[in-house]
Amino acid sequence: MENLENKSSEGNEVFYSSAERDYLSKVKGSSRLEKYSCVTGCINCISCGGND
Amino acid sequence: MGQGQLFIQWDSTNDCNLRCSHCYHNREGNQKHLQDNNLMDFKKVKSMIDDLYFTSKRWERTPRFHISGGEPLMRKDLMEILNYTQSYKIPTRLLTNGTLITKSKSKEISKRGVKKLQISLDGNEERHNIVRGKHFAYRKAIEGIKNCTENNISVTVSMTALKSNKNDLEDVIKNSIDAGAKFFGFQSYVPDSKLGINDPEFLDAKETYNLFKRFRELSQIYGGKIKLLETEVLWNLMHCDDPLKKESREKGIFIGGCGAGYTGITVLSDGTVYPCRRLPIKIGNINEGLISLITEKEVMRNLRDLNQMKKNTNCEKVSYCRGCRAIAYAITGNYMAKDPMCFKEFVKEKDLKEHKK
Repeated sequence: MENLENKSSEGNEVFYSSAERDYLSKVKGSSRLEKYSCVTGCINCISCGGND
Repeated sequence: MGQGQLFIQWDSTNDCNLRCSHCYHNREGNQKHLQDNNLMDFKKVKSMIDDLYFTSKRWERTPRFHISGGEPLMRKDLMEILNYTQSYKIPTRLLTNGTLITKSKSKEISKRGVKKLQISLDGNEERHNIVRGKHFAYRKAIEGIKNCTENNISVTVSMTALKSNKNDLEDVIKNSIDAGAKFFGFQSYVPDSKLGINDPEFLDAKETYNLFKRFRELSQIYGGKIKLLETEVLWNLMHCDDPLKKESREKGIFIGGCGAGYTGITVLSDGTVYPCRRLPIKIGNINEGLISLITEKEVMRNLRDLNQMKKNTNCEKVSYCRGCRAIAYAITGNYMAKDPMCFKEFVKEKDLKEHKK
């Protein structure tokens, strides 16, 4: 497995492609809004019991 | 939870012991519900789970693995697969019809770290058996719920809301409580794209709103005995506004709603990838890797284009709702169009006030 130790810094241009950086910037909002605990929607939403 | 999720919903096999009228497989040329010889083998499944684990770690998200079917209990190496997800401590759920969950099977599943599981009930006994195409479907599903409960697996009962079963809502809630289920929720039905709004099981916006209202009434009666989930995407219309939503509208920041394009993908039994199980647009194969599939595929990028969606739908709630993209696609042929079941125009101030935060 590849070493991920140096890859956890979001937005790091060395390790992330532009498509990846774009994606991460778009989903970043979901992580700071814990009250919206269920962000998967639809069928997955129900399967998690709605409160994970 | 403290961080966003990344999930794979995996159709582990096409094999199924039931013949449900609303099954996706009927529309995909697999009316016999049998697996072809192109099933992902255990080695490929492990590779997919590795990918989920390491991509989640890379993106600092919580991995989730949801195993559906066909019927996942018909997958012969299911227990080996659960051993593997358990080794990574990946929260894993089964989406099952429940009929094959015997006492011993529920013990085996529980032992492998599955703490929650979804079982479908689509009406009272008579209707469920009609929808599910087998006379034993209801009785066995109820047994499955009881067996899971006895082995400390928390069961969510999921009902697909149809024109033919919408009046069974209370019966299904009561029967779920009696069987020991901890959660109950319903999902909207995705109509057959060949029929669109003429699909006889399709609920229009007004009917959908009335169903949500009825659910709220039943929550008042049964909410102390079972948790009634307001998690289906259109519940966002019935939930009150707050500063966070206001900010998301103004800045176009995704904070929730339909997860298609954002929080995961669906993988079919042969490795084909869809954005969502309900949205049958092939975007690639799982062997291309999650990072490429999620970040680079055009359909996924479009689903994340909130500005375009806002234009198409003329709706300011796109950052936390977006309706169901699959229903929009099934009816209009455009997955970026307005969800035809959206009942925003019917919602009253009183509905928002009834929302329990």
